Amino acid sequence: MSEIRCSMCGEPNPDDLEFCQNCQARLKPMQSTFESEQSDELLQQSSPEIQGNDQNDRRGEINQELPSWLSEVMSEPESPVEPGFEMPEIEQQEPDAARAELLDWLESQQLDEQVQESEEVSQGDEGLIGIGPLAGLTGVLPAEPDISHIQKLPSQSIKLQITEKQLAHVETLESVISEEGGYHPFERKPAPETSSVWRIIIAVTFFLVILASLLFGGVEFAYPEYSTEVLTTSQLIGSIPNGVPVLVAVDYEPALSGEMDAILMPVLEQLVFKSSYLALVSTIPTGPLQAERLLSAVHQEDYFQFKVADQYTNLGYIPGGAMGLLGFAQSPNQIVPLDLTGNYPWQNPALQDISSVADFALVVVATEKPDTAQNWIEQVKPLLGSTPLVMALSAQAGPVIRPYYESSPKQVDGLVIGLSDAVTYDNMYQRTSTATVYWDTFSLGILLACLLIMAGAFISALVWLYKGMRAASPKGSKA
Amino acid sequence: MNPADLIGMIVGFFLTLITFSYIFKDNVLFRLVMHIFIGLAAGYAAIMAWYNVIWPQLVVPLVSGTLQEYIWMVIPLVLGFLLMTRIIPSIAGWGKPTLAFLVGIGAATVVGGAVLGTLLPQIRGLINLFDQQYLEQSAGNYWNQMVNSTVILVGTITTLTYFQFQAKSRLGQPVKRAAWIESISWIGKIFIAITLGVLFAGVYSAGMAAFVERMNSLVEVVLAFLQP
Repeated sequence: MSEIRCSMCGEPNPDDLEFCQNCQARLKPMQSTFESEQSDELLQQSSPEIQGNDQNDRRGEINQELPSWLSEVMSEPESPVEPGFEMPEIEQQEPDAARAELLDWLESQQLDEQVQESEEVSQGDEGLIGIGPLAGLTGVLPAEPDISHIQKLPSQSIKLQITEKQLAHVETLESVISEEGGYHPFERKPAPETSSVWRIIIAVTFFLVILASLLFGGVEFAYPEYSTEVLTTSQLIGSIPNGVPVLVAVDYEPALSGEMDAILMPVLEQLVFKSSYLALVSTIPTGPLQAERLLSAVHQEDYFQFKVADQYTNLGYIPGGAMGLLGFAQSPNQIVPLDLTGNYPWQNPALQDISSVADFALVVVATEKPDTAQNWIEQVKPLLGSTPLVMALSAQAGPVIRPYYESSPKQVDGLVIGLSDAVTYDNMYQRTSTATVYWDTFSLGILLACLLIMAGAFISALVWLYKGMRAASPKGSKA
Repeated sequence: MNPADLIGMIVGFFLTLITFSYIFKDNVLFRLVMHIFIGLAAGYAAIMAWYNVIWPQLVVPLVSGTLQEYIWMVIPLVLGFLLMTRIIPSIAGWGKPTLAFLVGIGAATVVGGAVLGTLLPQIRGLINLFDQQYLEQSAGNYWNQMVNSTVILVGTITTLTYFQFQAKSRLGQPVKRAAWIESISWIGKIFIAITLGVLFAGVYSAGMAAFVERMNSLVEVVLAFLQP
């Protein structure tokens, strides 16, 4: 018994079934009435013995499928043919040929599992449904789209094709991941032997030496030679006209005020000597207080005859870090509208022409932090125009900021770094400020530190050699 | 000397001595001084923020400013209140727009400043070191300046190479940089070591200056009481 494979689910079905046993899809195409009559006539001509029962059965099946009104119409006797009307002649065919043609036609309607053939059918007969429950009908919408047809995909190998290099990368990645997630026992290292006795001995040594130097003096160190940056700074300040406004940023924390006051003092003294109007500002909250304290120290120097109220204004604190600095550089009177005392300082004759930071004659920044100094260079310097930027820096910030001074073109026009530059500044003007007072003691402390570091290195080298010799000797190795 | 200065000097004297007691061991008095310092700094910062920022730049324009100022001040006022909601966990999300605004503007300012204010000018400065006109106009000897410029160039390149961690991986072998990069970065390591040494010397020098200033203040207090 031949089989028909369902075009929907692919299951084999007996040849005599019209609907699939599995999915109830139509296996054979429906025939139109005309086709049915034509096929009936063909059947009558081809096999007279099946004219009786088969024809009646087939008609009965069709009648069951058709609506009742259509069945009644079909059951009525045919109207007589009017005279003069000729029925179209149906081509008579040989019985065997008709059967062969019918089988070919049926075979062509049996959709095989290959989609390609169904596509050919669809393309060949436009509007003819080639598959599914409506197969064989024309002019109707398909029950299901062709995309829903089940078909087997060609088998593909799931083995990944990678090169040796890619494999090496994978192994590296796996090793990195496994090392990250893995447990690594913490290797306990013996704590460094920092004897509290040694620490106290070193501290006491420092205390005694510094105290002795401050109380009794005695040891004098040569002043440092003139450095180009100090000379440049001094010339810059000397070149500005008298009485012009100068912006001074006191941007250092109280912890290092001991050093920073000593560095900034000579610069401030020269500015005061030139009767410059100082506008003090800071990007840290404690800065304005530091500025007040510093100016009061300058005020105590009688020979300057410094009139505090007339020669400076404390603009206070600039909030916002780098953003605040940028805003202040663009429009100072909007970012800092009031001074520390709550008054509007921008109507002062010295400041009334200031609309941007470039309107100041000079900008001096004193800080101990490299980041703060970089903020001023990056945010304010590009807006300064021809106004020079001078920096008074702690020794710890000097190495970081020096490239800005030594680059060509200069991004920092003048530098005063550390106590040594401050002493140089003092010597240039034959003055004795805090830096000069500290110089001998400071130099002695540095010398003592150098000696202690060298002594420590020497002792460590001796201990290392001793341990090495002891380990190399047979007695030591046995031990 | 007025009484306020005298009290300040005596308090400073004892606080300095207590701070130096850390040399022996961490102790209660040292911690007390640290708490006093932190508390004073925070309190002063809060007062400064109110009197120098919030009052003149926000409250005064809102109370007595023009309509335009009033409208402009409403924006930071609202953003400020939204930011304050972060202290309440249930509505902390309201502060995210303000935080995003601050972080975005801050990052843009800093990155823009770093590129335009440091990176590009320093590259230009490095190139200009080898400019013939610059070398001839330099204060020192021509060849001295040339050697100096070469050292700076070599130091810059080798230091940047040291921080180049791209390496090839071979099957079954440890990941390692190319030999020529290793050798260049070894030179860079020397420059980095010298730089760190200089920075350490600077930090030590700053600390020594602060130490001398404190010791000097102690001596001055003692002498002020000893002298008639």
